Amino acid sequence: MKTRIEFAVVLLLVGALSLAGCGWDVDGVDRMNEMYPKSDDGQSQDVIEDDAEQDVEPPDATGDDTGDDVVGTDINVWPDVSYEGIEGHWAGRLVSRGKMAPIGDPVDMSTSDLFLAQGTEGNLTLTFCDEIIDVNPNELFSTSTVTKQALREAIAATPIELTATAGGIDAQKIVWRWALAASIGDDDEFPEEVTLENYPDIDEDTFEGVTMSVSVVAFGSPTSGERYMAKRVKFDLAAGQMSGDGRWITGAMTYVVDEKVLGASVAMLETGATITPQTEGTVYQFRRVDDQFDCAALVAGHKDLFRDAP
Amino acid sequence: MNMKKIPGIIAAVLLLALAGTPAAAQEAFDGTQWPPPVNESEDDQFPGAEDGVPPATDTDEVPPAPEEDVPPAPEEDEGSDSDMNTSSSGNWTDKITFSGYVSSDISFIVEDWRGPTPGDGYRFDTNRNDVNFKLKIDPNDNVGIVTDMRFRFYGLYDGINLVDLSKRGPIDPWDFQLNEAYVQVKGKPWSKMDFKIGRVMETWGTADMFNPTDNLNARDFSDPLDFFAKVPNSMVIVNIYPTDWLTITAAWLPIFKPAMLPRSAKNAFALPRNSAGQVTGFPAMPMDTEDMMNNIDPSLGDVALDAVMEGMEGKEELMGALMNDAMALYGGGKINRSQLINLLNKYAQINEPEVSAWTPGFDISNSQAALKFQFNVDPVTFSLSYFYGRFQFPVAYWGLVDITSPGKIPEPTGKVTDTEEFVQDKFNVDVLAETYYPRMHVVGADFSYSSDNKWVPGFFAEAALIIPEQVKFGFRTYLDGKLLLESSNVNVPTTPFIKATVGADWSYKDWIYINVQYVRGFYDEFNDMYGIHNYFVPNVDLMFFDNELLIRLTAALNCDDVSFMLFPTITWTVVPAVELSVGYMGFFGPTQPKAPEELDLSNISEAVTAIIPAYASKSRFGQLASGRNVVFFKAKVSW
Repeated sequence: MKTRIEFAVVLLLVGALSLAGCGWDVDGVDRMNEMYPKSDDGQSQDVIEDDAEQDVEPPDATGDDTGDDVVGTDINVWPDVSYEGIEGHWAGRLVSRGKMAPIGDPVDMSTSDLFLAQGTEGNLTLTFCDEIIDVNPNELFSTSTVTKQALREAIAATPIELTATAGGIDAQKIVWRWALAASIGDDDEFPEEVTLENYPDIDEDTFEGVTMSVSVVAFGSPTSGERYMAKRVKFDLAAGQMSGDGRWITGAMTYVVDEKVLGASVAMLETGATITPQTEGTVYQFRRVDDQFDCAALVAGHKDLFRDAP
Repeated sequence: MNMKKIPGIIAAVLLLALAGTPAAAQEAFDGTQWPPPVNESEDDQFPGAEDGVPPATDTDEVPPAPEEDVPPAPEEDEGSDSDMNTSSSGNWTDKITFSGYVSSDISFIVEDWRGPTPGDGYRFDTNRNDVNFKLKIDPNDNVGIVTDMRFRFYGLYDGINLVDLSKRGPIDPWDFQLNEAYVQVKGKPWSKMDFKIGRVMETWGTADMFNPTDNLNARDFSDPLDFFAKVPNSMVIVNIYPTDWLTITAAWLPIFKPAMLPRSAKNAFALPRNSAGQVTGFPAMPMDTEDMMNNIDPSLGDVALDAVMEGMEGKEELMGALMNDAMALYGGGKINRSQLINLLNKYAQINEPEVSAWTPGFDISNSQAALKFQFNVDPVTFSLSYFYGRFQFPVAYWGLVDITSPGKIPEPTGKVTDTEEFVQDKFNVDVLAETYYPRMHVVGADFSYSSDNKWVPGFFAEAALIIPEQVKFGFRTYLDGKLLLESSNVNVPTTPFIKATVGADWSYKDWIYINVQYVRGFYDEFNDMYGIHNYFVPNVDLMFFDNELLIRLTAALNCDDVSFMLFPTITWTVVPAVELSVGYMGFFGPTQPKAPEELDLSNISEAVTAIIPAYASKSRFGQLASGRNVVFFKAKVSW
């Protein structure tokens, strides 16, 4: 009798332990995004796709779908603004190229951090819009990452300040931190202990750090979910000169990135991959825009916008 | 460990365990196999759930005693072919069991307030005429073949046109249902093992009807008078009897099949209406309205107003009338709810919600698996079980309100839904929603105790620890294709929760049978924003004249909202095998959550709740989705 009871208890314990750590999660909003895609400006995706097919102006933040009054999204149209000095509005991106090797051969990747910038005498203030990560897949692995509105707003709340002159941007180093406690120095190792004290929930979704939607196809098996993470990027910007026509500011840069995966909604996404920076193609670029230009236009058209950058 | 792999792993184990099975089955058909004497009861082959009236004791609900299921094959004969073919010489008539029933029932709605609109009622609700055939073939002692099928002809029919009058189908609708069709091989490939493959209805647990550990077959509530029905499903079941006190059961279900719902279930998302047919609000949705209002963008009001103005372009007269009516409504920071409803119906055409159900794909990661260890420690039988799969009842996933302004008709731009018919000079409102079947781990335990002492009742208990997949409910509102509002909140948290049933039953001679149960968590409760409720479910059977007359009183009381269901029946066994039954099924409780007559605009959350009721405020048995109050009559003959 005792043996039978003990056997039953052991079975129960084994069963309970094997279930620990389930990270299942489905979100009705994600499902609606699949069925009724939308952009940040609240338009249905159909409208945006129509515009994208025409390869002209994306919709503006007001929701108008004509786009006639959007300036700067057509690379042949430049805004009617002053092209003198650093002052004014800029759209910019920091392009960080690198390699990562989660499975199989290393794959090339680039991270484009998109900003709207406001130039004032001696300064260029960068307000974050979005981060676009492109990973060239190999035969075993592919991934895509999408930021959430709450993340974008949280990161945008702390602009990056660059020192500048009338003729361009000074050489300088900046440290960009995502969801790191102030107590963690710029050169400190990331604490192992995942707590809200170490990795504050700046996007306020109850999870430590910031949350990104990640899709991974590994060995042909797709997995989608959310990854909670923190990161620190040290950019070393070379001096950047303004183009002779006052439209562009470009320069080279190097970077070092530290990322820590704090958790994930599915176990598959709990493993991150180290990024090895590449020098070639790692640049920063700013393009002059007017005050009507917004993040939605930048995100929708960033590839075309910077195509002709010197 | 990737939990999605669990079904595949268990399936692989089952398939490995069954290696050599086809050969064994063929040998059995050939009558060349050693026949271990298995004492499987007839009831195990034919779950008795078709009569629509709960039997006093449902043998399917009680696991068979392991000793009876253990094929007591001599160890020395295991795997031996030399002693085969001991029963193949019997008469074929001894190997076939044919049974079934013919029944006819009719039910009549005895109220007019629980339909889609008040005033609908006092009419026939259902009329079914069933012919059921059950066939069991035992070619030898190693093999059992079971089929169970039903033809149902419906007395009531839907609207027909002139063309339909020349067709039998529309006037005399019928359907065919294959309840079970499987082969059972006993004592193969190991003498202490048997298995079933096919379309099976399997029941786990020791409680009466409310079995939280019973997740293999979904419930079939399409017949509101039959609580026992289940949705048949394809599965592989392996039973192993390593000792006389332990039975191990493993099951693999490659395909997920959801529960069938009663016709009234659509009312869960239907627009509440008054007797004039006016919409009086929106269906309850699992939204955290307070949190939504706290996090709402302060600029939403301006954005919405701008969008409304834009949507009314070219409709200035209508806009003026709307503004006048709206201003007249507003007084002292409060709005009269009835007047608001009138305004809503005057200026808006709200179409019935379209609710879809997300269903998992047919890949192996969506298959389901279960494992059970049943222990027999006389006089107690208890078991531990584990199930991986999906909850069989739908959980609200998202809701979407899509509004088209009068000025955008007939050519709406940016319309989210694909509605093409519009009512002119009104805001046309479409409501879409989708439900989801969340994944879950279920760790279960149950026991039953029966005493030889006639004065001591039997006891049983069953509990399931459910570890659910988190489901967040998403909500959006569009106006002319512009997304005005989006919110998301947790509907089902990942927090593990318990569903349980504890009960006792007692009978005295053939005169009385009493069964009382405490149930935590009704069939469709999954710890979403409605919560897990507590129920008291008593059942009393009074038998007279040598069981010729049975009076049954069944009830279910929701202890949290004090709504309840009554289900009394009287059954007269005219002659053996011929039964006539009359009964009543009634639901009692508020059909709609109580809403304040004055909406205080200073409390936006409360005002919203008055139009879109809180999910948890629904009455369990009172809500219209529970069903209609009916009386019914049924005649049945079995053979």
